[in-house]
Amino acid sequence: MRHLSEGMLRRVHDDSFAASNDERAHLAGCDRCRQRMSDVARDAQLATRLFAGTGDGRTAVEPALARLRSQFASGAATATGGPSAPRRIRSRRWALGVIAAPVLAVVLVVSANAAGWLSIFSPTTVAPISLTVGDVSGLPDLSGYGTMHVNQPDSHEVGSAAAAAAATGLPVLRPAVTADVPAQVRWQVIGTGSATFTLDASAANAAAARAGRAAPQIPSNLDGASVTVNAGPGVVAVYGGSATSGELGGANLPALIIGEGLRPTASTNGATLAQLEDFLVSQPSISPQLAAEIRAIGQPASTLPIPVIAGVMTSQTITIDGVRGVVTGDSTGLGTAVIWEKDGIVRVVAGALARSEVISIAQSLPVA
Amino acid sequence: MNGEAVWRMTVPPTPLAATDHAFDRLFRAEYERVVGIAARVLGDRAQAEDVAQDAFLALHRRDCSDQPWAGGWVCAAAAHGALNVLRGDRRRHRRERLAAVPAPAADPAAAAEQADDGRVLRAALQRLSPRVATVLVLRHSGLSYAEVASAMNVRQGDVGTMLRRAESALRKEVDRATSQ
Repeated sequence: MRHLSEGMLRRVHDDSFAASNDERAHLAGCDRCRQRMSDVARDAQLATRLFAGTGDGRTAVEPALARLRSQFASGAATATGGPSAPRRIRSRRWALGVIAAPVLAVVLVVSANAAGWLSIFSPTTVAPISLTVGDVSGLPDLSGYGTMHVNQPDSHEVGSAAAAAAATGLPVLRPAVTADVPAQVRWQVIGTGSATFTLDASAANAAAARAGRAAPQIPSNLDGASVTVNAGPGVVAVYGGSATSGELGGANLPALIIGEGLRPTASTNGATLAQLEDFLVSQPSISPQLAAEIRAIGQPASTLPIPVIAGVMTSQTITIDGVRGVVTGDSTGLGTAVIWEKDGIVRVVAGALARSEVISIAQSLPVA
Repeated sequence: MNGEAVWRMTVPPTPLAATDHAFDRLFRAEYERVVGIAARVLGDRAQAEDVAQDAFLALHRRDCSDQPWAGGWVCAAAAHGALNVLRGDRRRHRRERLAAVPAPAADPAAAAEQADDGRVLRAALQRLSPRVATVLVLRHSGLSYAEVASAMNVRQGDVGTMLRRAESALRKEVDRATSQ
């Protein structure tokens, strides 16, 4: 029998009957698992000791309820908007809402451009676009529509902000508010990259046949149309954490990230903007609500959409450095990201800090 | 898309009367536990009550008190709120000195040891990632594996692994701090 997993050993520490009869028998006879169980118990007991008594105490519930009611009466409960009700979703999307925002922005831009709803894309502003979890999982799989060629950007770490600025030509701003910003900082320089997607009916048919599903109907006037997205260069300043932080469960996640990059641009041949937009929103995986959101952008060629997953993330627009910015975050307050564009540079400030602190840090960046 | 003010996903606040019953029932059932979660992070019961109030206020705005996951959601919101306060409080060292020991022990030596443990714990919670700290706080606040799974929106079968990794990370943080 296989050795017990770490997770099962932890559960067994709390409840020996969490394991099956076979697993308990294995544990009883396996020196290696018993040693691992000993390590699990040692760490669990330390945590139990540290937490012991820290939350004990009596709380008067009814006065607390009355206090809250007084806030309702004073309008505090309705003074600001909040996100819609949380939904049942998969774990990492919920927990990583803040991180997901800029990543999804790129995904959506690339998906949108590649699938074809922007012919010439050079955003000068940002705006939130509301997605459901179903929308995200339903974004078109590009391999089912044609071929993609990616020119990966170079990426390397440099030793100073000046070096990062010299390598990219970007100003590489540092926040003036430093009380909550770790002193330790690393700069990651990212070069220019591009991705070209070509709608290809024959490739789409082949992909559909392999997957055992119906091929998308690519209009003849779009067959062979290409969209190229160019991005970079950019700089990501990582405050806190460590260079080896790659594990989600580790203790080394950064406290704050400040990203700067030239705005992405896109160009196309063989199709008009209206044709590509019509094709994208007519795809079965695009919900009517998402199609309406895409249509409602109004000026898609000049707006960078910031995806906001309804119920999972909150979103609000603010004015920052004299332009419109989007504040987005996890609905439970886990973290916040502020995204805006000015003078052709897209900036992102994100961190596992209070929303007001992240906004303060973003607003403290000196104007270039 | 006008992009102005709060985005359209905002649910209009529901009249209080329509949600009174479910909200009050949830508040009375969960308030002490929610305060306890925040207190485990902050070591300060008055601050913990403020965090709990904010968490319930946020829940009320969402008009979802009658949902089966509402209790877990408000627990997670309290944990995140308290961790944010802990990380953002520039006066935490002063607070550490002034904070009352939550559960006074008859033995002064035991009380001192408990206060030391509290400082060590809070220093570690500041350094751990929010997700790691959250699973530790929720489980060691007495939430069951199923409740932790609901609060963090993960599968129940994943909680053991998350907890194991979190406790291992906590030990490393404590070892690192005590070796300096």
